Amino acid sequence: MRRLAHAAAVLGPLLVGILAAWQARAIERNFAGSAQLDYFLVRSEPASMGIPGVFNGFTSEVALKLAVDVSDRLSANVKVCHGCHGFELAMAYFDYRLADELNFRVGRFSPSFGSFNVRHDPANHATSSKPLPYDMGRMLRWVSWNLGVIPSPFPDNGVEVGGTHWFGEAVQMDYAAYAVAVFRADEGNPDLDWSHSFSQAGYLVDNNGRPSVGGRWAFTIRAGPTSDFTLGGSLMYGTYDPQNKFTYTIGGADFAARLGRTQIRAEYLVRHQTFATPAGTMFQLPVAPGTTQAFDKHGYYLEVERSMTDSIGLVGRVDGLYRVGNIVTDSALAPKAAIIRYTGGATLAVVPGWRIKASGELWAFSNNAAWGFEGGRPVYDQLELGLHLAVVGTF
Amino acid sequence: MIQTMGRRLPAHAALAALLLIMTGVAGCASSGAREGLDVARLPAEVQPDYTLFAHRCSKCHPLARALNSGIDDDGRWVDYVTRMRRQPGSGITPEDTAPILRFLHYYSLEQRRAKRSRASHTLATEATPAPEAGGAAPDQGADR
Repeated sequence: MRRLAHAAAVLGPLLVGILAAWQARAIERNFAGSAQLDYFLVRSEPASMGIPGVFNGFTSEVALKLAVDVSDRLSANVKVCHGCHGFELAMAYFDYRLADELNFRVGRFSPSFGSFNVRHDPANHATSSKPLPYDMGRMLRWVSWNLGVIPSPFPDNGVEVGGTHWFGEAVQMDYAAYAVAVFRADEGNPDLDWSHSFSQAGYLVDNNGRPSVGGRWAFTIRAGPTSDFTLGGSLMYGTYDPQNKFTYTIGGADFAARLGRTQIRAEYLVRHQTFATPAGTMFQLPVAPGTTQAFDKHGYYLEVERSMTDSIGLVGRVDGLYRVGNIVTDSALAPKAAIIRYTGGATLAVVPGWRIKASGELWAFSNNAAWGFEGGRPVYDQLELGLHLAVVGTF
Repeated sequence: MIQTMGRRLPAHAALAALLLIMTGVAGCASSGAREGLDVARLPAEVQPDYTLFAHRCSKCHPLARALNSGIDDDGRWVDYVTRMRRQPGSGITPEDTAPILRFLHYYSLEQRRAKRSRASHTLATEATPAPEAGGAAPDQGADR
């Protein structure tokens, strides 16, 4: 009920505003949506990992979005999705635009971080799964890893100033700066607690009253009629505990190239995070109770996508995570832990607006080896093979 | 470092899945469905505009998102394309909007013509007993 009440509190004024403007003049509105049903065939997680449940089954992601141009300067967006953790208000914000170069966004939105953010909808990427740095709970061993670096999307309440500018017809510059509530955890928790962002107990209420701040800056360079390159950098900083003692800093760099029918995308992210070592909590590396520890979580992906024909596309991807730093004794991860995943897949247009996605994933998990390599050679404790078959549609 | 493969997927399950995928791919590939439109079936003067639209508007999402939006009004297309142009890294310059909108104007006209054609066909079907199918579909000039 609390969640429903909060949704009503957020949506109510937004809808009243839209309806008022609707009556005042004819306003433009666009209704869009997407749905993906995916079957992930993968063997059960080993009982020795202490992880309940398996991913061997159907998952769905559904989203409905309403975009309304209230006036030439003011627009509103509302998006509801269902997939990762039930119904989620993924967007509910107003944009007030003074110029292309200066837009004010207020409400609930996913702050601008990295380049994958604009493609997070399953209809907008060729694989069934998201890159590991941006995973939202579909990765193997997500409990041990506590997801990737930053889930995408990660909607929360705040404000963002951003814009875009073309220098001639060759260079586009984008920027964004924001203050958003985002990550949370209870006192003494040695890592972020994602459930705080959608649980009924503290739904959408920040736990420390201090917003996180961040920004993004990117350049797109047009190199020819069918080719362009994008280089971007992102940064986010904030505290996540109630006393504002422990911090996280996330940095990211992204590169994308479009060469005719081929798209190449690469991103690297790292989250540096400090955490508490309360008395009574045991850690794998020796630590004095009450001191502050830190870990780094790196994530990366390289993806190549090519349209082979008007109906068939191929995609290949290498992505991974690497965590280095102290960790509690009951974790399945060692102070150095890595995942490397190799993905190959294809998309096929079935009817206009509907695609089949098929992909295979080879997962390699390792503990105690930096980045999953030792002496220049990949090492692993265990391999997993997964097969995805999905249907995705848009309207 | 212990290197173990662990218990693998049962071979027959993996094989069955691969066969299912391959059968689906082969079957659907023959259907001739496509992400966008068949440029060869478009009027010659529309083809360059469509090519630009197809390239610019497939960077972040499939073309179907625009083509299946149901929009057939020029004013709404202007708002739609402007919103997309402002997206970070869109790669759509203000100069690109004119040819993109020219194509979308053409596409809207075809959409409206197709709707009218379907409506009149429905009326005719309701007025008279339906003959066996076989008549030519209305030529939309577009593969959707």
